[in-house]
Amino acid sequence: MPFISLQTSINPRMKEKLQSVIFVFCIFFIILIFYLAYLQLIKGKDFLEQAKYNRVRIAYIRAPRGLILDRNHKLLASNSVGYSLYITMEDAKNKEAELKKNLTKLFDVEKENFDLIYKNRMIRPYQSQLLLKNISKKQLIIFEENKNSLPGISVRLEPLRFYPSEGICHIIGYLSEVNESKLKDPSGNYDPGDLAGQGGLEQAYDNYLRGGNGREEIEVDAWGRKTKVLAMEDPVKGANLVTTLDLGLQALAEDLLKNRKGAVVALNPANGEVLALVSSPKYDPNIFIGGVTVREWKKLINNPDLPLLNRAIQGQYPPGSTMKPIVSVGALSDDMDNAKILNECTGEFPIKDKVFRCWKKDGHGKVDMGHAIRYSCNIFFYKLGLKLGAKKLINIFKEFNFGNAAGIDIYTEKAGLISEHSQWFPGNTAQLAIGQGYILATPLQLAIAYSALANGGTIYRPFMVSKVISYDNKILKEFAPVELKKIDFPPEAFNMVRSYLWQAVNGSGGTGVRARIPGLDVSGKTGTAQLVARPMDEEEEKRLPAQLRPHAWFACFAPMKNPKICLVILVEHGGEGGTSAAPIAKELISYYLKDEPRNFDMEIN
Amino acid sequence: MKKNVFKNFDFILLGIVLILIAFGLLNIYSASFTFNTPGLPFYLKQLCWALAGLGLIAAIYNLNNEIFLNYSYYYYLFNIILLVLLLVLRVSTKGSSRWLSLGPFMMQPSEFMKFAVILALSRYLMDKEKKLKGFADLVIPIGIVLVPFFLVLKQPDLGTALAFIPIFFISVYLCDLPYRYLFYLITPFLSLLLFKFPALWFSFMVLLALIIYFNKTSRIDAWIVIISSILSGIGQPLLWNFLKDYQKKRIMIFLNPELDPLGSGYSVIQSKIAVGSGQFFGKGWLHGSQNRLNFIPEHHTDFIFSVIGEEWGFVGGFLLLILFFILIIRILDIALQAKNKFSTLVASGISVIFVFHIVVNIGMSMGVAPVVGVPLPFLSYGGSYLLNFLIMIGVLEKIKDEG
Repeated sequence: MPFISLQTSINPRMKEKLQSVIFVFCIFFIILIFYLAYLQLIKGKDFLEQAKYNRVRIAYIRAPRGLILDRNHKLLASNSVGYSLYITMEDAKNKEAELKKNLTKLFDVEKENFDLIYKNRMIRPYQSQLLLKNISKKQLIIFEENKNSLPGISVRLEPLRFYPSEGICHIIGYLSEVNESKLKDPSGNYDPGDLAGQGGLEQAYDNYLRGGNGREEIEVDAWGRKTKVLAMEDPVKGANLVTTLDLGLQALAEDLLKNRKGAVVALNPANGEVLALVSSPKYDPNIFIGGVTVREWKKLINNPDLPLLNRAIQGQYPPGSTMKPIVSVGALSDDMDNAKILNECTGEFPIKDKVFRCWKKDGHGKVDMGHAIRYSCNIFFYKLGLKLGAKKLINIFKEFNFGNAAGIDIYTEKAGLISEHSQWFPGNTAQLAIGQGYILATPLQLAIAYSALANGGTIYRPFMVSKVISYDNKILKEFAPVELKKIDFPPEAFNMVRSYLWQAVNGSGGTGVRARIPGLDVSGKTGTAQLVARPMDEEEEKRLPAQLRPHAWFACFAPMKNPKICLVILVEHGGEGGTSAAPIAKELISYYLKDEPRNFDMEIN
Repeated sequence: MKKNVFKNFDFILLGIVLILIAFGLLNIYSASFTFNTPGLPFYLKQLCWALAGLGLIAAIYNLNNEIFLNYSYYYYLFNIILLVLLLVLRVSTKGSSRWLSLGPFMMQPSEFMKFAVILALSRYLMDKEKKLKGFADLVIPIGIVLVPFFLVLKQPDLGTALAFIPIFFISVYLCDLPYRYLFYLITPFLSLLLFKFPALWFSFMVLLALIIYFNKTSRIDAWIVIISSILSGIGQPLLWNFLKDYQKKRIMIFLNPELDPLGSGYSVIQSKIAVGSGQFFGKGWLHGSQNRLNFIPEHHTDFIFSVIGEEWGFVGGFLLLILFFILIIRILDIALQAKNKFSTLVASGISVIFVFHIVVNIGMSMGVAPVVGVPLPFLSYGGSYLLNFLIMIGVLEKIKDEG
């Protein structure tokens, strides 16, 4: 039976017209078939990709981040859980205005944050997005009570980084979501949404701490609901860091610097381990967890006290009189007889048309090197400096690694400054000999130099992590001390200066007397780094505005024989080093060496 | 007589219909097996409707030859009353009042209206002794179409309302309405579309005037064309406002689906992805991810072709279109062999209804026609439309039988 018969009973005109109708229908069908072929045969591959993209989601199973421990395995950084608020725009459809009002009223959600998510609603309407991280118990209750007036808001339990102690903020850094450039870096191996360390140990040891993400390839339906798991890979837990820090010492130092600006660096002079590294003022590193809010960030960066600055490794200051022992070692290595020079101190020392002063107005009289260190006489060192010359002074400083970053294992360390002018005036040279003028140093650099004084001339690279251990307690890596260099000065020079430093604390009239601990043989030197010309009298000194008052330094080590700790204290605008910095050192050493046997052999004269 | 009951019966026509229904059941099953709907699953409900429809075919086949001719207007009036009733009762589901509740069943009178319009138009045009010469002769045919058109548009159901328009055009075309009048009939719409571009619109109006001048057109008709064109052009913004927001949106998004990839354009994009990703052989029955994971809304009803395209590929889609094409040819063959003008007009009207549904539905699934919601004959899930289409098949068999 044919599909279409030719004989017909209807009139020929209508037949003709029906035939043209058939023709038109034919064209319709041909168009449909061609378009179908175009979609399926030509564009089919693209659409297949899109269909796959539609249904397959890769969910990362984040590995728990490794812990950071102090030398006694006390926690510096751990993981806890917290509640976060999430928003799914699709569920809040048509109620955005009301939602925004309620959120700002109940939770103090920042408007910018909400607006940003609202703007992106078309891109990810079914995906829940973070609105408010780590809410408090109180906020959780508020949420539960007001659930009905908060369409699209849900709460999730999430692992969170937790820093039990605030004082370690400058060492530890913080975590934030990886940025675009890090994601693109093939060596980084980061997945979208991963947290990466920013600054401090979190950044420096990120590769160990973060472990390896697991991944779950899931199939989702049109509403983003998981229908089945296509593939699965378990995460690898991050490794733990064992640091060289002593949390007790760190906390005490932080406490002693409270309400002051300054820094404390404590090193083990025998190997360069960092025992404590404190910068004040501090901030709470926990505010960065899950992403710092705009408001908190602004508050931090607009704070005139610069809490984000790590003064211990980034603050560069004139080291002042703490440089005198360094200059002395250099001078002695040049000629041991330099110890015997007697320089007359009248309180004033004219160089060309300028008059340089000693801190003691009436002068110290005739002093040798030992007494000049003990009393911190400037005039002696002006003269010694001029005798040695600028070039030698600068070389001595360089021997002690000033002007160089020592390569501590966290980032952003500053190198300090040694200026090598081609044209030196004698005044500059004299200034340099007392650590003023064209020299700047970080507290860490001073601690490294004093460690070298303490150990007889070895410069160690300061480091904070001694071991990396896996979650199941296997040692993955151990860090040995690194000797950066050996200072080529004779041991007698070191021995002599060490005895002077002992005198400066324990001898009568020593400027560091406030750091004296009977039986522990603290050896150290004060420093009072001038920011403006030394005031003429006490009246004038009192009138000096706070931000122009000198920085107070104290650098020391203890015990004298076989030193176990080298300490540098800096109090910004603290005035006299002997008054404001030395007592801090005393407390810290008493704490750290509390179990050390006392030794009363050394004679106090 | 009993012996020759099936002498003229078109087994190819019914065979194709049965194949399509069976294929439809397979796809409805595939489209809805992930659903959690209470009661009978969709494919079984559809099977019930199909069986009822086949019963109707048998019943119609046994009816008196003259019955449709005689009851055309009554059937039309009956359906108009249902539509009016519907608007009055405002039984509203899904934002429109398309459904009339009949005990346990819900029926959609607008679906039956499609065939009623064919009957009434054919009946009127058959009666006409004179040929169609001018607008005066078109008043009643236009009325027959426009009354249900507006009633359905008001529901609102743009797709079904639009289905009445091609019936009118094929009927007056077959009844020898001069070609220029076919053009005049669409001039208001062209004017409406072109009004946004003043230069084009002006040239169009000049062209229209020239056509009228050089063709024999009565003065009244000429004025009607000119004035209605000008009015529709100027009234275009008003008419735009007459459309529901969602209809405006659909038209705009049809023109550019990317305007709203997750809103109204979403179905089209997802449907295109489904059809395209089927490639040559398809992903296999029950294996279409777009379908199974419900990426396309209404994929067991209006978007059933996305399931077919995805799971049966080009092979399935092509064979389906060929089947449809044979079906259309069979219907037009019945039109050609019908023994009277009424039967020819009815069969032709049915063919154009089929083509309209196939082209608009598949075009919509492929993203080349607006999303207006018309079912794909015999394949989409739905009771009322299926019954109506099976009634039309029954009538075609009857026409064939009498021819």
